[in-house]
Amino acid sequence: MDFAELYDRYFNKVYNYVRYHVRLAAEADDVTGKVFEAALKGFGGFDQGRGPEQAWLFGIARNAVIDWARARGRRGEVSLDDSPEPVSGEERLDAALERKEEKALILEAVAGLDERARDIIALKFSSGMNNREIAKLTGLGESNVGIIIFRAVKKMQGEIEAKRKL
Amino acid sequence: MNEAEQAELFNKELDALLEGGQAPAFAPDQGAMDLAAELARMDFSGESAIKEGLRRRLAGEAGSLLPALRALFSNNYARTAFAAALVVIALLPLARRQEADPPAAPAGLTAELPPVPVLPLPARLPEPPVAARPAGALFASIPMPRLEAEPIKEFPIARAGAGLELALAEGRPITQGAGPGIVLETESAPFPIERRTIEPGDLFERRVL
Repeated sequence: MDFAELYDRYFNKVYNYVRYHVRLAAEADDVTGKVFEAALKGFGGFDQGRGPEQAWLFGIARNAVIDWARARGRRGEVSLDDSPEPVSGEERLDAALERKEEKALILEAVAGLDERARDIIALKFSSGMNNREIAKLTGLGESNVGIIIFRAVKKMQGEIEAKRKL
Repeated sequence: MNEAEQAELFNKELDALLEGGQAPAFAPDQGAMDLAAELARMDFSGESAIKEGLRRRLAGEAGSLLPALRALFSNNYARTAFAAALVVIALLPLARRQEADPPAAPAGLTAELPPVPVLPLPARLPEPPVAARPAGALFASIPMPRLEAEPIKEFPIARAGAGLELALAEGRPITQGAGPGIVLETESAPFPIERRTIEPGDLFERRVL
C-alpha cells in the first residue's frame, strides 16, 4: 500500500475521529493535517508485521488530539455557524438544517463524556476497529472497553432525549 | 440481566451493525441501539476543507527524496551502517598516508652499532595492487611486496672451498639491547646480525582494514 492509498482509505475515518474531539471544523482540519503529515514522515518506517496500519494511524491521531488539547488547554466550542452549508442543490433546506442540528446535538453529547469515554466512542464509531483492537491501542481490557461504550451510549442517549424534550 | 451482560449483548449487536449495517433489535434498550446506529452513520468528513488540497501537497512530498531519506534513516541499522561508512571514508586518507611512509628501522638495533656506510637504497618499486592483498588480513607486510618485485640477487657470501670468492672479511661480535649480535663485514657491505626475540609488530605494520 502506498501513502496515497492509505490517505484515501483513512482520511474520512481520521477526520471523523478528530472531529469527535475537536468540534470546530477548521481546527479539526488542522489536527487532521498534522496527523497525515506525521504519518507521511513515519510511513517508510512503518512495519506491517508489528500491527495493522489502522492501529498505527489512529495511534498517531490520538497523539495529535492529545497535543491539540494540551496546546489549547480547553475543548472546542460548539458553533452551528461553523459548519458549512450543504452544497447539494437537490436537498431541501429544512432537511439539511435538521441533519446539521442532529450532528451538533450528537457532538454536544459526545463532548459531555469524560475524556476516556469520548476517545473510545470516537475510536469505535470512526476507526472501524473492534473492541479488542481498541483495547490494545488504549491499554484497557476488552470487556472494560465494551462496558465503557455501553455506558457512554446510554449517557448520551439520556442527554439527547432531555434536549429534544426542551 | 445485569449491566455486564447487557453491555456484552449490546456490543455484540453493535459489532454486527457496524460490520453488516443491519439494524439490530436490542431488546433491553432499543433507544441506546438506535443512537449507536445513528453514530455509526455519522460522517463529518464532508465538512473538511482540506481533503483534496492536503492530498495533493502530501502526494508531492511523498514523491520527493526527503521522505525516502527520512524513511531510510528511521531504521537503526541503516543509521549505524551509514555512520560506519562515514568513519571509514574519513579514515581512508590516513591509512593511505601510513602505507606510503617507509618502514622504520627496528628499535635498539642502531643505538649501539658503530657507524656503517649507508647502503644505496634500491629505487622504489611500484606497490602491488590492493586487490592482490589477502582480504581481511590484519597484518600487511610492508617490505615483502617490494622484495617480491625485485629480481633475486646472488648473496655475496659463499661457503669456503666451493670455488667461489670468499667475500667474508671480518666478523665482529657486538652487544645489542635485547641480546648478542654480530657485524659481518664483507667487501661490499657490512651486515649487522642480531639475535633477539621479536614480536610480529617488529616485522609488520599493524593495520585495521
